[in-house]
Amino acid sequence: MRRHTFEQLARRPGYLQHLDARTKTACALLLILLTVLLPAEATWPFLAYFLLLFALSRVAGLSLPALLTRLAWIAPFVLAAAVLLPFVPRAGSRVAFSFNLAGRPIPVYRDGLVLLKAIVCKAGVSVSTVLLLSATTTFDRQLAALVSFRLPRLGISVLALLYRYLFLLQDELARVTRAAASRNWRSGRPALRLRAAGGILGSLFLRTYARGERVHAAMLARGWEGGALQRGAGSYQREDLLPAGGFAVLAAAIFAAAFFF
Amino acid sequence: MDQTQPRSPAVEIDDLHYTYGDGTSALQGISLEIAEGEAVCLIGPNGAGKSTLLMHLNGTLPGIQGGRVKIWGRAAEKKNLREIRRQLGIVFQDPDDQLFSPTVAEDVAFGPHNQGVEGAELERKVALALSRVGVAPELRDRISHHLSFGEKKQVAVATVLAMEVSILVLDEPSSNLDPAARRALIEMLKSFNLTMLIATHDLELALEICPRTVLLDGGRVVADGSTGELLADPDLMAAHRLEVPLSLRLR
Repeated sequence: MRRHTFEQLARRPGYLQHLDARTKTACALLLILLTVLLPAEATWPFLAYFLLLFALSRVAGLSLPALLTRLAWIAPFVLAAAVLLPFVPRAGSRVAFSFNLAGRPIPVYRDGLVLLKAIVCKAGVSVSTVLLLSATTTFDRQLAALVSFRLPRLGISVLALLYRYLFLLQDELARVTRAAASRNWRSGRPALRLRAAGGILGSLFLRTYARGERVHAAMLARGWEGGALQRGAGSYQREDLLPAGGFAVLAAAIFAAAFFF
Repeated sequence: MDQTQPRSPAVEIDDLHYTYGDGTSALQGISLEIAEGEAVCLIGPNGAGKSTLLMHLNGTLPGIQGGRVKIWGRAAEKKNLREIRRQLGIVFQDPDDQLFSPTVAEDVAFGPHNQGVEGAELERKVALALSRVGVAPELRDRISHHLSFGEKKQVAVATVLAMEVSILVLDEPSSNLDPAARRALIEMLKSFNLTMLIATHDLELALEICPRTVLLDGGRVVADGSTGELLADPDLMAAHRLEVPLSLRLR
């Protein structure tokens, strides 16, 4: 099943897979933080981070196409947010170039281009980091790491339930659409198809709601009184400190160098 | 029913009523007593009130509207629910409702963890519960979603066994199981030395596991007696949308 390839990858033996989830989560958070704080004008530090992540992906056994395919999922969101920036004039911004559209010159501003590049790079590095983390750490370990970092337990429980029931909802959607397709849903009139789609979504919502109530009942039946679903991770493997320290120093050095070169 | 020696009742239900928010009257005055160590099957057509009755046993439904439920002499009310849920475990019909944790082991640990069990003792309980239902140790760290339906059902039973309950309540345990998994489930249930209440449409399972059967219809107890005698009554069975099991018809 394609949708579980990351989870399967995370269960394979390997150096990165073996590292403590807390080590990897802390390193990932550090890298995301540094990336977000990088100045928009920087270029080679973004490339250095991409190279670092690419090298680690190779170690993890995650292929470049697999990484890029998943990275492509965020493209619509990032581009929707940033694609118009180069066309917006800012105080003192220079025109990089202009082109004609329907006989009218359209200026493209340099500042906007820089901002677009920074947003694309920051989103790219951040999401690649998260992808690499989930390709090397099973979801339960990631949650346990979050518990160890004392993040709000309710939020972590919600994540745990979301992860568990997302697949179920996906299966349910597949079953309902299969049943609809077997009665020639797709060859009906567009208005009719739209109506059926509305019905499918509505029934899925109701089923999800009903399942939520059943799951809650099952939790209560086993003595749940509102506590966290997730337990924290066990004792920390100290031998992880060395690679974690090395990673932190390297990431911080690239960050610091961005201000000098 | 043969009641030579009165034993301490595990479950006492007295004149229990329940009406759902939409006005559906699910239970209309149920009275029932289950003694320690008894295995009782609850049969009846769809909508008879079987699941609603089961959910009352450990206070899973919000509040009792009318009547009384007692588990080991304790009334099923808010102040007793913690202890009652330690004693009485429900295995729900759809294992996907019951298995909500990221891994099998965490799901089995959920109940004992809620009881305050931690560390090595928790690990021991998880391992013991999984071995009692015959789940291979290598499935421990699997995501529940990846298990077969039969395995999910076994794990669902383990989640309750791990709480070391004295009363096991099962809602349709054999539904959707393939014959081998169903056989494994029956043998597993027969091996348990627990008080059991099993709601089921699987009348052959009732014959194998439960000496006593309670027939529910329209939210009322219609018949209560020896499984063999009750299920062999064709008129009673037909009147309540059931049928005499093949094994009894062939006799």
